[in-house]
Amino acid sequence: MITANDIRALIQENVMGVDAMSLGEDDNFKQAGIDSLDQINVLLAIEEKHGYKIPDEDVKLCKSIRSTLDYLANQK
Amino acid sequence: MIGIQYISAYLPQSLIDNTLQAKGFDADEDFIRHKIGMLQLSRKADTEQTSDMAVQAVLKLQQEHEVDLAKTQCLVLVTQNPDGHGLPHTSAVVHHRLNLPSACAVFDISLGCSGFVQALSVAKAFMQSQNMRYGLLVTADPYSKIINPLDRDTAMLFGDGASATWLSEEADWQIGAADFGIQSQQHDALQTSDDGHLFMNGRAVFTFAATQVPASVKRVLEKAQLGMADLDQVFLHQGSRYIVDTLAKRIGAEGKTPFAATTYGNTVSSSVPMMLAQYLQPQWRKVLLCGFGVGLSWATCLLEKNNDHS
Repeated sequence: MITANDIRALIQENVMGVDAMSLGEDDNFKQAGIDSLDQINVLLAIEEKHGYKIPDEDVKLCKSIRSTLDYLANQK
Repeated sequence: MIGIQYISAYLPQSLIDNTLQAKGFDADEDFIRHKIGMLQLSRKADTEQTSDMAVQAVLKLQQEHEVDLAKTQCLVLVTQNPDGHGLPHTSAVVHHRLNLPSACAVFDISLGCSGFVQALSVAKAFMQSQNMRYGLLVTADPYSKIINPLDRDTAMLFGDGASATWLSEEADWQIGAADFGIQSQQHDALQTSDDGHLFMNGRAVFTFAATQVPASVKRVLEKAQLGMADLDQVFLHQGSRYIVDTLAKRIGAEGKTPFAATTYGNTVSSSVPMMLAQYLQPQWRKVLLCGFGVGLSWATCLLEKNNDHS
């Protein structure tokens, strides 16, 4: 099962200028400096590394670490 | 062997200030500068046709390299935004405007951002099969014809431009190993909608490029028995600064993938040849080209310096 720290690690790896390790689970990605392009890149990394499939229509559900974890938990 | 002898690029004079335009889309300058990467977008005049841009590119080729157009045996134009309704083929109009010889094979190729790299192989094979010695490969695909200026997903990306490449059997650059493909189940991720405007599913295009391009680059390097360290430069389609940076990281080519579209934007099939016209160095031995987009298709090929011309 993917964890909050797994997502933080992927943000750290793929998003420039964001201190992912201090990102709170409820922090809104956009307000934390993770824009729409970064978000797409992080979701791709989640798909590739953890084997999920996130359809386009569900991207809007992944606005923070917690909402992403909740979404992924419901998917499996 | 038929290869690339000379390349020239044409950009229309008008420019859109993208940072100014971005304010209307609630996008800040940082996003434009570091993610989109295009501070200005070149725009053709309203009255300027696709054929006009193609002709200008060829005339620049003639001026810059003293190409003898009377030797042209083949004219290939890559576009998906032709003059009028596409009949006749725009290359026929260009052929007439340039007063090229009538003994000349003239046709359009309908491809987007992968178009130049695919057309290189098409033109090479076609010319060699008929023992032709000289040909023109032109790209001109002005997306300003189909951009909805109110669409945030596309209005800040595309610029108008054209290129002309002189193909010859005495060429400095030979076309080497190549790889072509398509993820056609997502053909609708980039399309002209019923209202005549361009639609782009940005996430689908990004994910396609981020996964298919590295695999394609790997296949070409394997075919050629080369590593990334053997390449002098990698010219990736200039979709945005973000996609170029992402791909550079994914293919292990950071520092070798120029981003050149800052002052003109994504010029579709012209983006790779425009970079070649600007950056190609005579001392380089091997460079890689990769175009990707509409289809969703990709085309990757190696260019190798002709050892006879060292």
